[in-house]
Amino acid sequence: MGKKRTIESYLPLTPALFHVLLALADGEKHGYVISKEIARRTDNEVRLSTGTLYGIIKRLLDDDLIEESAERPDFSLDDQRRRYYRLTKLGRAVAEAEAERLERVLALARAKHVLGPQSA
Amino acid sequence: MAATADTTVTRSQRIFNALLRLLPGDFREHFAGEMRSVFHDQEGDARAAGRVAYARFCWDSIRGLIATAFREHREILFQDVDYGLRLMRKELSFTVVVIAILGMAIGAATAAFMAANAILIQPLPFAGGNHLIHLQQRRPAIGVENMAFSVKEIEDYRSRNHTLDSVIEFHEMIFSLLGGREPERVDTGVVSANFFRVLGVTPLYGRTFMDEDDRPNARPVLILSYNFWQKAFGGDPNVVGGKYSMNDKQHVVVGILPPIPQFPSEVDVYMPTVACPTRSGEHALHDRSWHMMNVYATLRPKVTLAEAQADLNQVADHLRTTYPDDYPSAKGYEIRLQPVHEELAHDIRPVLVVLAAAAGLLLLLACANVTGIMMSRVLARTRELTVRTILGASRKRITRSLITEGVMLALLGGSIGWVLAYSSLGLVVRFTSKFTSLASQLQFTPQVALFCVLLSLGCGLVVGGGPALGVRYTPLFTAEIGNTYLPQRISSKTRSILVAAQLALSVVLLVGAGLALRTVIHLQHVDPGFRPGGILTARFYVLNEKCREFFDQLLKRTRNLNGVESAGLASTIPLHAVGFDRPEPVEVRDAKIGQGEKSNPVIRIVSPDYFRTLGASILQGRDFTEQDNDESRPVLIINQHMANHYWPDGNVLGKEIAVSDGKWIPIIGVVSDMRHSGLDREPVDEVYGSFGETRQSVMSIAVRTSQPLQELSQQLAWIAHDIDPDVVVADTQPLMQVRDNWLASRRTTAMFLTLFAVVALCITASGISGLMALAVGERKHEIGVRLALGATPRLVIRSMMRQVLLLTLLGLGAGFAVAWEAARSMSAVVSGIAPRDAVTFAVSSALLIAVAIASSFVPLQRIAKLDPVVLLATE
Repeated sequence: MGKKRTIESYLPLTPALFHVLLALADGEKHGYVISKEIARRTDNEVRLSTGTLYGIIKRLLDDDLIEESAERPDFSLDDQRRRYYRLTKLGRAVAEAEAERLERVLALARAKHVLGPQSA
Repeated sequence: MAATADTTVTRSQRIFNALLRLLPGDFREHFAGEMRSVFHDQEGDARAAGRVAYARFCWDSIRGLIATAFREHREILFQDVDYGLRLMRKELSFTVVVIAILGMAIGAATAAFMAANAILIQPLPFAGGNHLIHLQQRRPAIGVENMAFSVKEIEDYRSRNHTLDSVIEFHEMIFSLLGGREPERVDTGVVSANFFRVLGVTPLYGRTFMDEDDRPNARPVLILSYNFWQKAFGGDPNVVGGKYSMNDKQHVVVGILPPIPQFPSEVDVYMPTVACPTRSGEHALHDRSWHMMNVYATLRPKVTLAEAQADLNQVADHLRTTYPDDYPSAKGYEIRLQPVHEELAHDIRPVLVVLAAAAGLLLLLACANVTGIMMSRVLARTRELTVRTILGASRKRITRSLITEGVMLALLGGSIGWVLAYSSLGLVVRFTSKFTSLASQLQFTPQVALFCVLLSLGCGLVVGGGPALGVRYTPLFTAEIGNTYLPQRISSKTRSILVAAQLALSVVLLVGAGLALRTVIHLQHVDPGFRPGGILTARFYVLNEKCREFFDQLLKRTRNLNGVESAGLASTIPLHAVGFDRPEPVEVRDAKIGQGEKSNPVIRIVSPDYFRTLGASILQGRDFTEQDNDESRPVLIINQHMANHYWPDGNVLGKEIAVSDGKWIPIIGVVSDMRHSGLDREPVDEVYGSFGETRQSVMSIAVRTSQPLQELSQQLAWIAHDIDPDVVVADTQPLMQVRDNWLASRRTTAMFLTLFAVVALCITASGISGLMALAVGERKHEIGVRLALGATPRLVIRSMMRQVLLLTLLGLGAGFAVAWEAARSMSAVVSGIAPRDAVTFAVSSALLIAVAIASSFVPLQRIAKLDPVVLLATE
């Protein structure tokens, strides 16, 4: 617990975990919105059930990659049962590192002609 | 429509809520409310997207929740195991002690289960093994419980029953097999052709018997048992088809059996009934009273044992009325059906029950002890546990980690137990084989392994759960860090109760072991009525008509051997479980009491000098002489028991007894009593007839000599074969060895019980010692004050010792009550002493008190070294 982990030690992230971090990249969200956004952005390819989603949220909280947000939306829009989560600095750094890693993998795939050239 | 949707939502929610319980408590506490809300929203979307989407959503939700629950639990388990391992390494001596205690107890319990499972629980290793029944003919009026069958009787029961599927027969003979490497005396099982088919035995090589093999004039065939095939033919499969001479006939080996436990007894070879000269002789085939065969049967489908019994009772009724001469009402006649499994396990069942109960008590004791140790350990860790609580660990989480530690220790102990039980297999087989042929079925099977693992898990839950409960219900977490006085007090009380329980369990085990040991000592010192030292015995089967000549010459030449003091013949030798002893009804004339009473003494045939050889005394009259032969008037000798029974005034000589043929024969002597059927059996009425007046083809010899018995046994065999090369010599062994073999099973039972009791005593001693060490630590302040106020260490020690004695008496009282009740069920291992033997109870108590005092002495001695100034300053 006391030991500090390097960013690299979190990599590679599982796709589901990475998607959750990406979903939080543009601001804090609660669980339902996270799952909804992931489904929408992946054309329903990645759909996180409640159990899976909260398993991931717990891990991200334990690893300090996300945190609960104390800020609540406007009272009329708020549901007291919901908790809002946002990326920590570490979480954003890890998401960036994972994105760069994937980019390098893509570049390698293109160089090896496994993947076609990037369309304009 | 809307109503239906609402109902569905409620049901889904309910299922989801139920599934949430699979998640670890901490997880649930933190996220459950939120998860319910998200599930509700997601479900709404899925329903709107159509039935397929909804079904997929339900499936994904269930799968996702279960997968997360599994992952979370696994993670917690890994954390707890890692933590537990670090603690174990840190406190290595504690770990070793706990693992050793649990290992011994789990090992003993697993070994007991191994034996009980193989012998009492598992079905017999034959087709329909549990439906195999033994047919027993009884003559209740004269106390004959299991009379063999004649050929005629087998035919009757086979043809007249309506409930039996197959009837098989078996009897055992000893023949000489020629044609192998050297002539062999072979134990031969003579069986009906359907024997192996009914038992479902498939041969290793060749075939089993066919119906054609058991028809008159069939070519004689043999089947070899696996062990005999290995021993005599070195496992050569080419032996199938080979010809070997037996009873002056060429026999062809047609098959070899696989290595299976043989039933009903271990033999070397098998032959069909027609090949046995005795079984196929005129007498055997036509004489209804030629009882020789054992009969077994399987029931027809859906027929109960009671129905079969009722059916065969009718056959017995028919025999009684049709052949009144063969089944006289004076002797009574009944048929009884006994499940073979029950029969084979009959002798060992009570012994196994006693041993399994002892192993169970030992396990309870070990659990109580380790729970006590674990509690002290948790107390020592109060500070650490409180810190963990402050850092956010819930009680549930800590409880769970304590249980995991307990389970880890128990599993490690269980692995030691596994090794112990596995290594004890040979010993357990040797022990159980003294009681039952089912012993050969004993194996360390996957079932036994599973039992060991489940038992270890159970023990882990107990030894981890105890302290965990303590943590849950004591104000551990409200105590200030460092001030652990209150929880210590609570735990100390619980530990006292646990130690009292250990003391109680120890008493029960000590009493059990004491009773078994006292029984063995009693039996070792019981006067059997004969002196077994220096006597060699052997049995001879004469296979021709010249038996009288053979035995006469054998006796004469044996008596002339160097060092032989005396020699005699008898139809049965004491403690030989051969089964030729049959009580017969006799009539007694001029009896002082019991006139008109039926008597069923055991009748034996003996030669002159037999009594002197065994060391029995002629109390009245004379022994048989060479003149008591078939040309003189028949005479009888009776034993003292029978003399006292009928003529308590001692006036016995000249009185007359009529045996089966109704002729009155005078009594010429009274011989001292001998315990023939067992050292624990009281003598019964016995009548001895003179060998000279009869023609017996099977007799045993007893030779008293000053020479080494090994040498004599070779000389005896040489003389016997010199007189008659075809004679079969069997069971050549010193009488002392026969007695020791008889005692061995009792001795081993006592040894096991003593071992359990010693281990129990050691564990309890460590429990008392630990409790006292805890008490001294806990009451340091009070002791310091008392010492400072002038009390001597001795005074303080004495007051604490009083606590130990109080605890011991409490445990002793509880243990006594249990042992008092349990002693009655110890009859299987107790004889010659009362089950509630005062000496055993007294010695057990004294031993326990002594151990309690001795084990508390070391920790209490520490008081003498305490410095009150230092103590009070520290406080």
